[in-house]
Amino acid sequence: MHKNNIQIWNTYAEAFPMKCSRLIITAENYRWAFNAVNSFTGFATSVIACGCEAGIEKKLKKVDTPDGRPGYSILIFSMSEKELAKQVLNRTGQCVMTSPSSAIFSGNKGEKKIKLGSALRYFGDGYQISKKFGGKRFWRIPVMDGEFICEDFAYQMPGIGGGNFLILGESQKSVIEACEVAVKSMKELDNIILPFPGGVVRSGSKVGSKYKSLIASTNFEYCPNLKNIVSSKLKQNIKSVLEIVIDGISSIDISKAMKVGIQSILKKKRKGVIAISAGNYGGKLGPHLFHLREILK
Amino acid sequence: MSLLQLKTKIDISYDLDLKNLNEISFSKLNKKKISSIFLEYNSKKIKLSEVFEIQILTEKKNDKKIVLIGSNKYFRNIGFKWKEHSLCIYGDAGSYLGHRMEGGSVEVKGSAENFVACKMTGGKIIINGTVKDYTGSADFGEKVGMNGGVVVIKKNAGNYLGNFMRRGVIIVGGDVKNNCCNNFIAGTIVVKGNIGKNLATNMKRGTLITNCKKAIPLKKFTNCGEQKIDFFNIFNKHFKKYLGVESNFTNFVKYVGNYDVKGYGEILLRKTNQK
Repeated sequence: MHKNNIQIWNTYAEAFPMKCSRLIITAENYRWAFNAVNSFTGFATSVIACGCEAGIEKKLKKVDTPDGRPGYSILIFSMSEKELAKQVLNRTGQCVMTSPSSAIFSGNKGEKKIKLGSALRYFGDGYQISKKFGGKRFWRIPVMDGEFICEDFAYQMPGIGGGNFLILGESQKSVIEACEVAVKSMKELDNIILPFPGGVVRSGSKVGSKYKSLIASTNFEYCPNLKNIVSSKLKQNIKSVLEIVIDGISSIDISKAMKVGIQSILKKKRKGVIAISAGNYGGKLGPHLFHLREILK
Repeated sequence: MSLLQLKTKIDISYDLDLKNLNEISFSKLNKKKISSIFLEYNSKKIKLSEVFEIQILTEKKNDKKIVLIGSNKYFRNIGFKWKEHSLCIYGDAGSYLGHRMEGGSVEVKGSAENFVACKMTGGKIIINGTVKDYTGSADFGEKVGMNGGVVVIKKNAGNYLGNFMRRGVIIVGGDVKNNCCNNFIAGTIVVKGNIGKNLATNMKRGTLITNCKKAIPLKKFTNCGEQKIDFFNIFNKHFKKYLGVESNFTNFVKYVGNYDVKGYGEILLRKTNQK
């Protein structure tokens, strides 16, 4: 299968279940809302070493936020309930509460609660004030620029992590350009995040390593430098590979994002882009399989 | 939505206790069953059908709306332990409107008497007219008043508004008489008009937001100066319909007290009003 001289390999992306939560962060203006969000989602590219994967889902208009101020919606994913709760609380306390004029609210409903204001309120040292209306409790914690408004709880919901596709090309430049096009179109979608820098990852990993202490190591099958040393999946003309990783709320969201991303690359002839593939672990890692050719039908 | 209409067919000139009216909301609308609900009129038990003309106008599975026509100030305990569905009163309501109310909504087209929302824990009460004393307060001899829910009074309120109030929101569109927020434990009260004497005696916590045009003596409170209260953004967005305040209005003069009881209650006044 190919379009505009770009091959679609007959393979699939393998994704796994995660726990996730949506949060809404607002501030006086978009600049400060972004500063808080950017800090919250920093160092959250992969659960391998960051504890969570997080990113901006979308920019919100004033009318769509609980306090009528500019804001962003973010998604945070983690492997366990406990780790998700820890990451949400720590990142809120250190990255959002510290950011001028910010406020944080839950962006989804769920049965499982994650402590937010109910734990951070103690920072108020007895001067915190709780307000409850509309079925929600808000905490007003006194801080040096006024008060930090924080909803009592965030809520956990099921999510999926590790949706992906690979872009293979003749040069690093051509592959980066194709990635940028895909990321731009995927960022328009709701319910997904692209947790890596600029939405793209160059150090794709496989499970395990020859070093016992490592749980993941470089995906050598796709490293152009190792072409004739290991059993490589790359032909001689492929000199660069980049991966776009997608975390989403449901498998529908991930397959939609993959479709939109791949189609934006296939839309026209792209010099130097040779093929689209996907990363999998032979079905050992997770129950969610996204077959590229089926998605593009 | 199912619609049930109760229209008074006799002249009510003594206390009519409607405590058992909430039985309607628990079961399916059945005219026979509704007719046999017992009420107390002038300290005597009577059947609901003896007071009201009962009409089931529409019947559907989901929500219920109960319309009560022809009520007056003798209709006590309307909305007592009300849990779900809506109740609309075309007329005035007597004392103890929404007493121990837990959910749903009650709207009164006219005015209400004393002890509105007494020990209320949830739901919403909207009163288009005025209310008398002890709105959101504890009952006589008790120390816990309103404990949740929302009360909107579109005109004036009487004395002892929010006495011993512990949780919930009361919004008053007009003026409030004396002893407002006395023994206030927590919750939020908004007064758009003027406030009478003895404000916030023994106020422990909670918030009073006011647009009072008169200077209020707040000797037992500490003036914390003009402050930007971001929380008001959320509050205003949620209750915009009743507050009618411009958005982005977050500047108040904050008073904290009452220090007679080492309280940390806050009174938020618009800067221009305080002398």
